[in-house]
Amino acid sequence: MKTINDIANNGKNGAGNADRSIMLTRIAVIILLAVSFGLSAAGPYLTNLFLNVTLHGKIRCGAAAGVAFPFVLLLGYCCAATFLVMLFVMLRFLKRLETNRVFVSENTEDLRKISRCCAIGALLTVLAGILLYLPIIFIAAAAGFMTLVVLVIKNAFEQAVIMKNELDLTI
Amino acid sequence: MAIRVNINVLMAKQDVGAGDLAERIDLTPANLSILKNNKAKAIRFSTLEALCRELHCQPGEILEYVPEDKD
Repeated sequence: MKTINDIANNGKNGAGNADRSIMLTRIAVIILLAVSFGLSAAGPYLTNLFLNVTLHGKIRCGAAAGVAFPFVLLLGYCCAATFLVMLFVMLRFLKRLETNRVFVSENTEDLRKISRCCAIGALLTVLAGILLYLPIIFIAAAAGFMTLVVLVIKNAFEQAVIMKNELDLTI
Repeated sequence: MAIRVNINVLMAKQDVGAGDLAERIDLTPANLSILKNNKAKAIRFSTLEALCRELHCQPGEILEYVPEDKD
C-alpha cells in the first residue's frame, strides 16, 4: 500500500521529469534553430547542390526553367523563415510551460501560429513538389499532417483554458 | 448574471467585516471579493455552507434569481 510520502515523492519525481523533458525539448529547439540559421546562411550553395544533384541541372517545369536558381533560393528562404518563426514561437511556448503558465490564452494563440506555420510550410513544399521535384510532396504531406495534429491540440487547449477560467471563478 | 449574491446586504445587517468573514469561512479576501461583486461563475456547497453558518441564514437569502432584460 502506498503511503502519503510515496505519493508525495512520486509527485516530485513527476514534476522533475516534466521539467527535464521541457529542458530537453528547449535544447532540441535551440539546436534546430542553430541548424536552420546555418542552412539559411548556406542557402545559395544548397540551392546549387539541389539543382545539380536532384534535377541534374534541368528544371522540369517550363515556366520556372529560366529562373530556376532564384526561384528555388526564394522558396528555400520562405520555408526557412516559416520554420524559424515556428521555432521561436515554440521557444516562447516552452518558456511559459517552464513558469507553470500552461492553460493560458497566449499558449492557444501560439499553437495557432505554429499550425499556421506548418500549413504555410505544407503549401510551399506542395509548390516545390509540383514545380521542381515530386518527392518533396512527402514533406508537404508530413507538414499537412502536423498542421492537423497541432490544430487538434490547440482546440483541446482552448477548451482547457475555458475550463480553467471557470474553475478559477468557482469559489 | 441572473443569479445575484447578496452577501453585502447580510454582512451589513450583521455588521461583519470582509476580512473577518473571509477568515471565518476560510476564503482569501480576493475570492470573497469575487463572490461579493458577482464575478463568480459558481459556488461550492462547502463555501455556501460556511457562509450560511457564519451569517446565520439560509442559502436562499444569499442567492437571488434576478431575470435578465432581453433587450
